Amino acid sequence: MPEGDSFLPRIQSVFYAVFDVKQGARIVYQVPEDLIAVPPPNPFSTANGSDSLPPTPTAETPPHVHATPLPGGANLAARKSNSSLISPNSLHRPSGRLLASSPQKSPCTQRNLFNFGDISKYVIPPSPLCGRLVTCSTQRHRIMGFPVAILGKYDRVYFRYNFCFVFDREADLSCYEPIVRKVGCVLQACEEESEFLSSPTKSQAVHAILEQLYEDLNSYSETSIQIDRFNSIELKIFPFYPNPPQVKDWMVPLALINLSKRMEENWDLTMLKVCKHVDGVNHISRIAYLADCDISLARQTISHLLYYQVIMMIDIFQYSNMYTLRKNIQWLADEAHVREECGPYVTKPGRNISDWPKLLHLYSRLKPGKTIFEWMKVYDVDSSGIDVRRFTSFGVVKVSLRLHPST
Amino acid sequence: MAETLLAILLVTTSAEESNIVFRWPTVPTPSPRLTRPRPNETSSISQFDNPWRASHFSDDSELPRGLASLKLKDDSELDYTWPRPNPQHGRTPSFGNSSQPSLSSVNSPTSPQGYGYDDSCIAQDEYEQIMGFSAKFLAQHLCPHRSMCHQKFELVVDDLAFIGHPVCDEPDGKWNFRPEKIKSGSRGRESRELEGSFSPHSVVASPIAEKPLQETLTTPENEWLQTFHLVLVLDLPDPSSAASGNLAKYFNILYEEIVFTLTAVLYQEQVLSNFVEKECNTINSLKDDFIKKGLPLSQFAAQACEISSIAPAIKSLYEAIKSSSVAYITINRLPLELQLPPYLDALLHNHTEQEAGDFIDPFDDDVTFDWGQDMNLGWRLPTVAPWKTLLLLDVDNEVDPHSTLKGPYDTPEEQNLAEGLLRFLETASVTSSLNEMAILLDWDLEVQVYPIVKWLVLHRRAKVVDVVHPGLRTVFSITGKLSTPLSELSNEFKDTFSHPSITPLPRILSSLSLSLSKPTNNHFFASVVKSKELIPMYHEVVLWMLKRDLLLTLHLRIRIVATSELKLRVKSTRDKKLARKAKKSGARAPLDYDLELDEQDLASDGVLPALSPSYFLPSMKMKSRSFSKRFRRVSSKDSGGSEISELNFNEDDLASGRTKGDDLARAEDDGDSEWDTAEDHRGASIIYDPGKATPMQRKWLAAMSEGKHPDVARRFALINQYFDGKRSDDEILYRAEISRKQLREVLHHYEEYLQTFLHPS
Repeated sequence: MPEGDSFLPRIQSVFYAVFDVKQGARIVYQVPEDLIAVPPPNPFSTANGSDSLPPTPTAETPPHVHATPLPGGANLAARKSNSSLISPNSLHRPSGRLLASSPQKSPCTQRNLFNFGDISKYVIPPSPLCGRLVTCSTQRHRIMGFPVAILGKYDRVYFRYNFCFVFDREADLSCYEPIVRKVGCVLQACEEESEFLSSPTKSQAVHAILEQLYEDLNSYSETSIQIDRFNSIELKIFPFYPNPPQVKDWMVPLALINLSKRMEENWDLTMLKVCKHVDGVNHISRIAYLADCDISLARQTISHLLYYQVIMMIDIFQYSNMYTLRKNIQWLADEAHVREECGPYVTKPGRNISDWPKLLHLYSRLKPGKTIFEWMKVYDVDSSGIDVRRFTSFGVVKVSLRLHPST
Repeated sequence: MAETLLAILLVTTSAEESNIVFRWPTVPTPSPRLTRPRPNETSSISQFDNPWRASHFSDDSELPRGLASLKLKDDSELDYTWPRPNPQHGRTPSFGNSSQPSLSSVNSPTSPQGYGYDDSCIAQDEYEQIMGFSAKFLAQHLCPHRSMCHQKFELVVDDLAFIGHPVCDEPDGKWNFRPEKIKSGSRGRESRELEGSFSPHSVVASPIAEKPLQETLTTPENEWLQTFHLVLVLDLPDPSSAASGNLAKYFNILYEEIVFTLTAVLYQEQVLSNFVEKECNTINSLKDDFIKKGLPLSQFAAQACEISSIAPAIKSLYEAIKSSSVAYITINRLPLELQLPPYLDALLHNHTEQEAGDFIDPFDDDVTFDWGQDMNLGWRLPTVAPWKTLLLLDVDNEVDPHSTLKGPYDTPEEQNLAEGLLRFLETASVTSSLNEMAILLDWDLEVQVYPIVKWLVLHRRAKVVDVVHPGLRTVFSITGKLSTPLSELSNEFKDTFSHPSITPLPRILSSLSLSLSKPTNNHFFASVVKSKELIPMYHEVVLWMLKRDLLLTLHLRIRIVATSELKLRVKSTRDKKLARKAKKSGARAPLDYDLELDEQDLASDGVLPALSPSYFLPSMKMKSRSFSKRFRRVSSKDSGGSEISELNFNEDDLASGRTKGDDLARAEDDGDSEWDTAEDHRGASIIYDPGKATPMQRKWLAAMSEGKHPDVARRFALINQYFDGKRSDDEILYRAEISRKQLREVLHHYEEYLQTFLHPS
């Protein structure tokens, strides 16, 4: 759901590190450039080849970006069509990737995130940690990577590399775990097929990949990078929600948004059927019956809606129910939105809306030991035009009412 | 308790090697994981797993249907569970994922002695393997680069999280406190560091600062120890079980409460007396001995606990965390208490959030007492207030606090403290509030009483509860869920209270649950006790139930409603007054306006009449029943469609409403300028904060007292500021310094204007 986008942590930096035969673990490319401090290159090794130098100036890289078969206009159009999923800042810079290099052009003014040397042993670790998701932390950052060691005809038998993503220390990285794994695995396949990473001629495309990962994932939360004719990286970050509590057949789903407006034809068939019967009255097993679907499917569908927090579960309304006030009523009773919504929601159509003091008084008289039926009789609720079912469900949702545990 | 805690490790490095010196438990076992979701056996749609099967088990498709399902059932366990990568090559068969050859198995140094015998070989394996890693490898990776020492360490590998605070010696090989860094601006460093993660120097440096300088100079020489690192190994909890961000908080609590504190003490002892190195020497030589003899790891661990002081400390810390109790450990004769918040694990479980909602006040900004940062998250502590009290828990029945606290003390201050605590414990009772206790003891509430309360709660010897009425006239409700099954509780209850006149526990709970529906006499005495002679006995029952969290104390909260009759009365009084004045000055009476407007307003349905005084806006629908009775011409539909209330009142409405009539009124009656235009002048409304009542609301409040006894009216004027629906009866009694009877009297006299709410706080 789109509202989750704001929770996605921002990638501070993406870097590609390898185990260099002569220098040991080193960063080959990083985006943005020079954010991570690398030890000054050994004079002997730099003489050996300029291609192993830290990233080339940005002026040189754009040709590579275009040289690789990157998604062109079609992809951009696809992104635009998905505008509901785009985080707000992306709207201002629809072509952010191409403009990207300018802010990072003055590396000397920026402080380094951390020293690569401090964490290099977790970035390019020995084999027991390879093929596993490794997250290490510095004082202010968290580095997530998927170190890979490929056995082959290399100088040192193994080719070791890692695509690492750098985040703020406090960021919640759950949603990035599959992303980091996938990037590592796809490039492993590329390397095994065509020496994409180890061959000096091809490896420069990696910089373009890093750039696109950094820009697209931060701006659009998704990306599609065509690496060669056969391989591509397709990524989409899904906002992270906790698992919903277990749903029971006797629970009643209550929609918090207008589900029918959101429905699309290509939704899951059961979902389409089930959604129609979510009205705050039907419990799950009744929904399954009405929608003519399997009860376990109905349960799963409801769990799914619950996961996206578009419904909440309430109890079956019965006149024998007992309700009790919860502590939060002290604050909620003062809330303007509760006050304003309550009257129109709980009143039967065509009847006078009772004022808030009266409604609040009625809520305060709901007590354990007193059934709704008794409560209605004592306070003559029927004559006041209040729909008791809506009154209690509003109470459970907004006014901090709770079904009494003893019922 | 930290359910995720797998093990506690002590890792050291010397110039040559890294080593896990001690671990507890000896064989930590992470919970099993799945490689892919296991389909629900009971559901009829287990076929959703078919694509995976099709791609991985090509044979299955050729088998007849029945056979295929049989076969799948057999190897389903192997199918779904994730085999932990295991670097033990050569000796034990390797599992699935470990297709990549392990360097460590190639590089790991082999000790020639152990290999001749099978037993010792297995024993050696035990020593060398931990959670699928070789111990050497893990030790190397748990001791980070020197520049990463003296700060929070966090490493997550797949499903294992390692949390610690590595510390190292100075580059010259000596263990020293690093005062120069503290001097060079602890402010600067703190500001750079993350919230909550701080360096141990600030803590460690304080004791040393008081000691003479010579002592630090005579630091014993250490020989090999370069780094030591106390690591908590956690089974990474399922991230989807908790709300986003909770995991970081959870880790941080473990880090701050356990790792950081213990490391700080160890560091101090290492600097002062080379303690850690000596202990490691003892444990290491013992370990070598045991490996040579081929004795199992468990025996070594047991032995290590006897001869060293770190090992038993790690062991009891682990056990205390697992049993959610306070860990009392001793490091180099230094007693140390470590504990985790009792509700820490709730952070990881989403479904408990709702229940926790009753304990946490997100809106409570009126915190009179701060538990402090370390007792914030996961403690679920109620706010401490003068009108609350303390329930002493019988933690150790066998130990008499008098005998333990009397014992000889080194300094008179300690003696005083102990005596004070003893006096407090003698005075404390659930029937008197903290404020009353402070008066009895002649102590200052905030300076003397609160710290003791905090100390007792922190050490889990007491909890903060609401005052129980001496005659048990307190209204209780029962809690939603029982922590222990009712059968166990009632057996325990039966054993504790065997007197025949005491009702069985289930019946007490039942009558409590039903009592609340009664309009009066819903308190504990009326619903359960019923006889005055039994009060002392039932006091014990109430204490017993409170200790087990079976009771929720309910509190009365009060709100004031300005009814429509009252408002009309106030208005007509004002109108009459204005009319009299107007007559005197010969101008037209505003009363006429009103009458005219009533007609216009009702007829035109929502169109603002040009001459309406601003206080009389059509948007203020007549909602009250009594009002609509008087003005029968209001159609129900009109009011039905209205969503506008006084809060939606915007500037435009105000501006357009401010017309001639208003000006007239203002010109004529300057003294009446507080006639508030933003109030709803007809329908009933709640005065949300009587303490900050607007002039208009003050008029209404004053009008409520018309015809009341002057004493009651005065009291009402005094205490109505607390009738905001947020203050409990106990708080009102404390703040207004009145008796319960007096409050009841006010409630009775002003019944028509008051709404009462009964709920837990």
